[in-house]
Amino acid sequence: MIQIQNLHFGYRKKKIFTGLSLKLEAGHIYGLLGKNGTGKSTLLKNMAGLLFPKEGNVSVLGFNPAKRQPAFLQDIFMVPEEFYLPDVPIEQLVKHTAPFYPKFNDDQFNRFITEFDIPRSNTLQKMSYGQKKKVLISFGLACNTSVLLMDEPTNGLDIMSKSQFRKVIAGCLDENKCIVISTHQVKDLESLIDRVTIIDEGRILFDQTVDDITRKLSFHISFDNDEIKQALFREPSLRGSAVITRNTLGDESKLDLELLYKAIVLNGNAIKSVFNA
Amino acid sequence: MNSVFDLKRWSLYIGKHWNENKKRYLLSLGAIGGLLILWYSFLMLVNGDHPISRDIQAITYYVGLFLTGCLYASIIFNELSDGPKGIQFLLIPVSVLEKLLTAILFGVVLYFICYTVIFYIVDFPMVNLANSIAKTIAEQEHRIPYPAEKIANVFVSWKDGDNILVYFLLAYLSIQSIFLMGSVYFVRFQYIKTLVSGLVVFLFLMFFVHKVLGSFMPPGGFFKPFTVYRVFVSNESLSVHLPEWISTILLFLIKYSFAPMFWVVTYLRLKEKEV
Repeated sequence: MIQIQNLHFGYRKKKIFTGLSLKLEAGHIYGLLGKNGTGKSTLLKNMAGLLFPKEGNVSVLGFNPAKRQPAFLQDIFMVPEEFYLPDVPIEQLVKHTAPFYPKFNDDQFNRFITEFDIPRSNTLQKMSYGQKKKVLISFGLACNTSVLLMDEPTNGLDIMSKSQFRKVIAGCLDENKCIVISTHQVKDLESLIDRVTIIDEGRILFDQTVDDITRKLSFHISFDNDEIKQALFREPSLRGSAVITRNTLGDESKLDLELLYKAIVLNGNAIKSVFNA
Repeated sequence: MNSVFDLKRWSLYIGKHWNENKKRYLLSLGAIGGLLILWYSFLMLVNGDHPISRDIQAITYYVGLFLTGCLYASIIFNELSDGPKGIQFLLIPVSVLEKLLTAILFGVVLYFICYTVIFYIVDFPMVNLANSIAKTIAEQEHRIPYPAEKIANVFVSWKDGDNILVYFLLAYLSIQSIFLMGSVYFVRFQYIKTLVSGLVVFLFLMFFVHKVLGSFMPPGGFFKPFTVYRVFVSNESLSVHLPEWISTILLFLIKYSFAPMFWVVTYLRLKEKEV
């Protein structure tokens, strides 16, 4: 569905990507994680055709995004971190924008904004940033595009809205859709994503499915000094130490995305050796 | 699906564009009307015993058209200078041609029609008002009033000779198309930057033609722009004419090709625009 091969991209003197390759398939929710300024948003913009690669190929749904053909644009939707919505009532937004998306479903849109507690009669001008974002997310989901790109979607959402967001997204995925969520708020996506991709300094540092991660790694709190010493990654906590160890017993352990992210960034080789073995 | 132009998609986009921008457009037209009223009031205030001549009306029309039309064209792709708006603009499933045609429809065609209508809505009563004020003043001063002025037809010259007003209109369309291009090329201060860049390019071309190309020409000068060159030999002068067909093509191109040419450049630049 999305294929990136040998992507080179930079802003003037600053190189962001130097030969990045990535393949994203339909039927998954991808979590794109990374520090600030590592190129998460830039990667999404390359996928959407808002930025053009200096070298390499980006193919989305068989299209070259840089050409921004209407057939491509009507099957992709992006929720940017900083977004713009015109100052019109929601009704007008739907009336004048939805016809560009052939798979737009008005009932779904109503359901989503109800889930987010937004009255449809509201005018966007009078809404808070968080409310506007929820309208945009609802609209993007209701468009039912094959590719949905979301850049820091939970920024600006309150605690209740974040949980509503997870619920709404989880209910939207089907085998024809590919959802890519870029974020640095890893906790918000923990129960949502089924593949983790971590970017650092313009390259893919880690790219595994959540199933593989929880099958091969164990995330838990340990009080056993020997286990703590031998752990692939450890972090002292108020009670015991949060550790990542090899999952030798085959037990199901709950993914701690924040811990995994820190482990990859600080001690990536140890973690990766588990997957390369 | 036609990826270059689809009439249904374009009409949907026109509806969307109008819906999102109508307040701004109507306010701008109101402001233009207000400025015209202010200007005519000023004229009546400082020169109340004279009616507003057709020359003044035409000058008002064209100066206003050039200033506001170019200013408007320079902000027509303003979304591209604002990241979030630019993303929304570029990702709406409409082709580049349809986006450009919408900009031309609103910024060139409809703007011209609306400006002209607003001008006459103001011009008609204000000229009549100025006529009656001038007449009243003359009566109070017990002298013969200046003849009342007619409403100017700003597209047809009321003086003998060539209809120079058509050339003003063609020049306006060409210059406005440069500002339209500038609105895509420059991220900020599009009006000023286009103005300065245009002026620099124009001065450079003038310098190049007169000083560089002129040095290869015999002593003399252009008698008719671009088509007839008069050469001075001793005390006589000879005219060198371009062949008729070349003159015709050249003048046609100068009159009508600039605006479409800059629209094409705007289209190409819009295609490669990144946010």
